[in-house]
Amino acid sequence: MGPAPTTLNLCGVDTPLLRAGRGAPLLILQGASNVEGWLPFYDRLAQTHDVLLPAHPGFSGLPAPEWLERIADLANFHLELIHALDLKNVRLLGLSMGGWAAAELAARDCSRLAALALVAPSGLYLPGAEPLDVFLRTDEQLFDDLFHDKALGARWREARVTPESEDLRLQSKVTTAKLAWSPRWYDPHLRKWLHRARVPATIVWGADDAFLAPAHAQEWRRLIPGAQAKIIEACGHHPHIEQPEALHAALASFLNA
Amino acid sequence: MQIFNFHLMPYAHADLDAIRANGTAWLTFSNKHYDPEKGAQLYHEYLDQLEFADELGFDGVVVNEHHQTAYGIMPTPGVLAGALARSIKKGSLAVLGRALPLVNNPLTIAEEFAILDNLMRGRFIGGFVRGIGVEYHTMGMNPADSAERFDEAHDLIMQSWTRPGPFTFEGKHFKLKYVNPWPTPYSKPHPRIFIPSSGSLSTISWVAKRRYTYCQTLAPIEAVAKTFALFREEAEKCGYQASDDQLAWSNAIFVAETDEKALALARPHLESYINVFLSKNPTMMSPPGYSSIESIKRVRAIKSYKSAYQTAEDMIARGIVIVGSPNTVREKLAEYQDLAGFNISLTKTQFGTMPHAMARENQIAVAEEILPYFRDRTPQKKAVAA
Repeated sequence: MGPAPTTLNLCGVDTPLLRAGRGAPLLILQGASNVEGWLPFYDRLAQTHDVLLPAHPGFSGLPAPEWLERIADLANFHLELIHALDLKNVRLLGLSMGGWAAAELAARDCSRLAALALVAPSGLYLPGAEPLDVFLRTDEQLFDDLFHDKALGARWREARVTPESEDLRLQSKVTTAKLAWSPRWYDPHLRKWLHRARVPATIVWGADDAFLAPAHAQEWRRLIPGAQAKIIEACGHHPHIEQPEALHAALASFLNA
Repeated sequence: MQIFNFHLMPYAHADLDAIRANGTAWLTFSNKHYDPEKGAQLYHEYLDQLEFADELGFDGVVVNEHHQTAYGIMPTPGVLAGALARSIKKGSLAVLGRALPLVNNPLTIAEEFAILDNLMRGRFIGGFVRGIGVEYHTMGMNPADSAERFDEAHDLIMQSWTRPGPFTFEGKHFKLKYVNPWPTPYSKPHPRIFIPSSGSLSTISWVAKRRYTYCQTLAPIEAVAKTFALFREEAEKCGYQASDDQLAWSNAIFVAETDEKALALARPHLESYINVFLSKNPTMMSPPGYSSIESIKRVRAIKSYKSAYQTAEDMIARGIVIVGSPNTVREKLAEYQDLAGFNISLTKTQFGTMPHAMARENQIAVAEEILPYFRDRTPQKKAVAA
């Protein structure tokens, strides 16, 4: 059985929310790289948890509201969502750009969080480990860049890069540029306050992430008190797609928090 | 018609094979290929050409702004305009234009243009542009803010020229406690404003609304005619009839004794200009947020972006440039003027790899064989067939 779709009006945006499973709430903040939507890995999580996957304003066909100007706005939006649904003891899982938003959220208010997991999050500047310039890559090229297994990337490319999806892809790129063009994929103020994320945290990275080097994992671990960092071998920027089993194992303490 | 001499100042000594190997002359083409000995020589040759244009009787000279590219080495055109300001004795001096969204304080552009207008005692023309897409990569500015920053910077500059200071400007992007620039422009209320654009409807409508002069950048003459017709429609919507002096066509002209000789001489320089110096990478040229999703799709769909090699014959046949004997060039220019209805021509006489001596000969030929025939010529409306 698939997830149940609902719509939540939040901050002036009718926000689609997919929800499945029972147990403690597990909120997923997804990334911006054309692999959004409900994925098999989320079914796996729904076996043990109440999994919630909201869309981001400005992505997935949602209009970009006036107030959406930086990732911190997205973090405040999802804080509103947590409060609107009165979620408690939330496992917050952030993927890529969603990981950046999740970190901003945790640094602001972690009173509703039981655990934090960041999978290949952007959000920090690390000299010598600058991100790939995705704005100079085509959608087709990105599926090659972001996967370790190029054949798997090609299958995803065929499924996702279609004429029908062009508007969605362009819109997602426009919003991404608005939020992450400059400074490129980070907020200089975030690192100053990450110590406020006083919640058990797990950082996971694919060893072959060509967008953001795994060196970032150690920087996040250093900045969030008590965080652990795990590297998944033979894996690109999307562990939840390329290595779901290994990711599930890496998230054991997060899921059981 | 007024005929201005427009220079792009290409790095004409560029290693064309190295550009081809890199895929573009923009952004990623390393400046290790820039030789300052050759570059210095080029700057002086190009400035000599523009001073010569004034002596020859062109109605004005034009420089523009592009960044981090061998296509044109004028990232700060005000410096070159400053170098020209005291030697352009008769004609106008135009900067077409400064890219407003790329600066953090647009008042610096108001100041720069006001100085130039003072030096020129009012014979200055200011241009405002957003900068082409790739400039948002080179200058690190967010393309999603481009349109808003352009509007706001324009309003700030015009206010700074027309409203006594000091006053406070509190915009979304630009916030200035004190706006009180010295000098103010020599021209009152402000210098002539030309707006170059590749033809987006929103820009056409914006220019028409403000009664500025619209300049169409490199495009086939049929497309230019359609764009200018659109401009006239937009002006009518604003309650006035656009004057022919509000329409400028940007082109390149090359004149020699015969059509054959002109084509043979111009070919390598035209073809390097269009095929090597111009960028054809749509991902680079159209960053997300720079234009609406509709226009990104339109740009992607334009065949010429992906198209194979363009020959000089293609460019001539499509009316992007005019090349030929004096007679041919006069006929074509008159035909195009009547077809599209413009009264200003922004004419490149040097393009691509063309060396100094050849560019000078071409300037002389244009001045002697073309300019006199167009000085008093305005667009002739043809009777429309029923």
